[in-house]
Amino acid sequence: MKKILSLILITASIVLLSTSCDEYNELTAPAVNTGSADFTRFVSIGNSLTMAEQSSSVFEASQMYSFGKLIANQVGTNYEQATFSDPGTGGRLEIRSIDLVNGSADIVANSNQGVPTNLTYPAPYNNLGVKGAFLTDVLNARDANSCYTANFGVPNPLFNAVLRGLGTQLELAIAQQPTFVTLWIGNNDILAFATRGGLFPITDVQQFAANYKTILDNLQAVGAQVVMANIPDVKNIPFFKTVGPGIGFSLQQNQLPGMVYQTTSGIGQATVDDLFSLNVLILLTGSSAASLIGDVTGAYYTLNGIPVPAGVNTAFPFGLTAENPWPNNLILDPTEMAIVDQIVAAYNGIINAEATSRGLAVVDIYSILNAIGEPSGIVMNGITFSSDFITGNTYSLDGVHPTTQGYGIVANAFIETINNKYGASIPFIDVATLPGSLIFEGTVPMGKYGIPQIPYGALDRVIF
Amino acid sequence: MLGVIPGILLAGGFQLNEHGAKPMGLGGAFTAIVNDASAVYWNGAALSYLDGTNLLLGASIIGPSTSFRGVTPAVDKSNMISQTFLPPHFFASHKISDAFSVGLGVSVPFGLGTKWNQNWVGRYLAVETELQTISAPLVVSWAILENLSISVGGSFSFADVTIAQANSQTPFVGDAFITLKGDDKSAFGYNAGIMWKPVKELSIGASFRSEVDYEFEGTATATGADQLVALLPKGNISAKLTTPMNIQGGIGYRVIEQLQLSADFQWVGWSSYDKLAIDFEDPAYDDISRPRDYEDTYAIRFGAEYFFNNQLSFLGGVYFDKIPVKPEYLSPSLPDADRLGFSIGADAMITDNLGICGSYLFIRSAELTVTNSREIYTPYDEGNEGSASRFNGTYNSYANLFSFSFYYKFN
Repeated sequence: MKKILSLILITASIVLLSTSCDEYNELTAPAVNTGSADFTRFVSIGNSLTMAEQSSSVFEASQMYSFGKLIANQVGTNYEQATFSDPGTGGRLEIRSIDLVNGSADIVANSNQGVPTNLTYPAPYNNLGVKGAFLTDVLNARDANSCYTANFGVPNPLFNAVLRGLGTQLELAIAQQPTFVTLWIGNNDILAFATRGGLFPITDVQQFAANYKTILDNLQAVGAQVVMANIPDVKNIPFFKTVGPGIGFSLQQNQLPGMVYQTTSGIGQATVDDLFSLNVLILLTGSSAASLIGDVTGAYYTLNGIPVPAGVNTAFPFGLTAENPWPNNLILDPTEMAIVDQIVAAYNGIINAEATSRGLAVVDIYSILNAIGEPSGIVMNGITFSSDFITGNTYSLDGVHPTTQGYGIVANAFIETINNKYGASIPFIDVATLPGSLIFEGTVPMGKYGIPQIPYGALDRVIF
Repeated sequence: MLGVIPGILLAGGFQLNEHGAKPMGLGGAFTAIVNDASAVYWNGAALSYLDGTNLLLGASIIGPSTSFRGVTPAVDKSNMISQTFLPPHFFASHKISDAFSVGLGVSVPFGLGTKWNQNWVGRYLAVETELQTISAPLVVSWAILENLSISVGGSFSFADVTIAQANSQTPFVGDAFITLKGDDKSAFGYNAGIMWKPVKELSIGASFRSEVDYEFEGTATATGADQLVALLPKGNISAKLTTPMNIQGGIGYRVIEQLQLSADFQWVGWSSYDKLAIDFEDPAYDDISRPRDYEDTYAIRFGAEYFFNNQLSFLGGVYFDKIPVKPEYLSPSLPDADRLGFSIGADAMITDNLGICGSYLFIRSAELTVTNSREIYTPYDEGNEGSASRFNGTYNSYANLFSFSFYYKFN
């Protein structure tokens, strides 16, 4: 009897054990040390890079990894955004087919558009970035019609979606009494010139300095900590690097010495070596025209519905002759490249000077993207990031805006700067855990010579 | 009848020790005291002590549970999808003469089945992994003396394996999904046993079960974006797997008329499992080779049987089973840890010939936190392994098992 009793006891204790087995040791994630940085009310001011544009569109699957959102996740603070459902704000580039072995791809623009999904949020968004915003817009744009590009006949409806008629980016930032602000603005002030082959005005350097100063004055007046980011070198992004070498290769295959292009003041010539060495930059917008080099039927103009410019004779080989040169808006010639270098240096000089005089920190995106632009790229979390189009992991299909993992690199650059400046130890994002973000469409033929096939016009709205 | 899906991670590695309700109730301390047809598995030499013809048929019901919290520094919890397994066992023995007895059987000596959500954080390491081996041993036992016997035998086995996991398509959106399936329709092993009963109260036994080399042949299939599917591995594959040898020695002692105690020491040659290697016939696809570096390991087992009367006895057992894999090689396809097992059971003769035994086993794994994992759980470029992301985190596992056996003696 005694033994039966003990068996019952053993049984009872086993049952107890098995019911208590769900109670694991509590694990807690390590607390985040933000040092003297205060993320209580965290606001971002900026353009498409802050809004997390990818592949020419702004859509929720990308916005959830905007660099501001990634930083907010790391420090555990609230961060509301003007999100758009798939496929986003319109014209999203998608891969119809790709040949990774021979390095070519067909890319199409999605003709659908998503809708805003966070319109009812009752306060200004933390992320005030607007695709297409110029520096002046931070101070002056209240809606589509008052934004800078409206002066050029391109009212930008995204100002309505993000600002919702409540004020300018700066006013909405101030209204939130921000404790911490990221300010990455001014890219479009030079990029619009560069991505249009030098056919768009550049924001005057003096005006840039004055506006930048005004923004910082206002943010500091409400006690916000501000971290800025500088302006990247356009030469290192795939938008400018991809098509030229491909054309060089095709010219070489056809034993042609080089190409002839239109400049604002006349006619220019680029040798095969100039194309390989990036002494001239053929824009990604010229990817579909690249396959028409040598054409004597005027196909470039008829296919794209463009009137033949005065002085052009389409009976001569396209892109190879002074009579029928490569169009000016599809190339950044050496003169224009020098202007871009000079302006980027001037803008970054202003940003650095303001930072120094105010004791603020600058994220040196310029240097990071230059390192990524080196042939070997950089390695982060086991992944190699280069400026190769599509396969480089860094840039989305528009050749300008980062992939989701690319935004992770941007966020890490901010975090590193913040950690150094404010004695913080915010953990870095493991960029390898961020999802792939180049989107697929369907199936059809491919381009030659490693030149991606992007329809004419599909990249017209890449900046605004 | 439910589909038979044998196999699960219960002993260290993917060995199963549940071959009969009675040994399970005794914590697996059975080598020296086996007194039914399951001797075919546990110790063939014990067949010499069984009279006439004996049959034993049953199955185990196994419900394992595992969670992973990580990846460090995160502590997000992922639970393995719960599955129930039903490995069967069947054994038969026959005494041919005073000197010789024979036995045969079918059981599941090795198996595993793990299934994680397709979107879980470790999906590039494991989504679905299933291995099942079915082994049919044939044993001859020779009673050298009245109290000493030895046995030798061979076994015929077959096995099949499924490995499914997600593959990152970065920089492109979405995951591809790769499924590898293969089988080996015939593999052979051998076994031996010895049993000695120096005095009436005491029995000593030992058994040996050999390694079995499996050579799997099968196919790989892949699904993913249409644009990339040409690059995904597919076609014929082959893989080798050697299941470990076992040496198990035990002692049984009848302390008093109503109580028998038993203890076993089991040595498992897990060092046979050094890597998971899968070869693709098409040279366009890289072969898979993941180091596992398992080490030989052991289990210590204790059992007690209390004889209530001539018809009814109660069983109890406890064991400790040592982890065979270094934590840095641990994969979520086969979570492992030091394990403690607690069992109870009852054995009853319903008629003079028919008996039934039922037992319950609870297995608790020690919490295991991996801090130096070699398993990379994110996409990475070849040559960049050094900076790639490692699958560090905390595993917790337990399992509930029920086993039933019916046995019948023809006198």
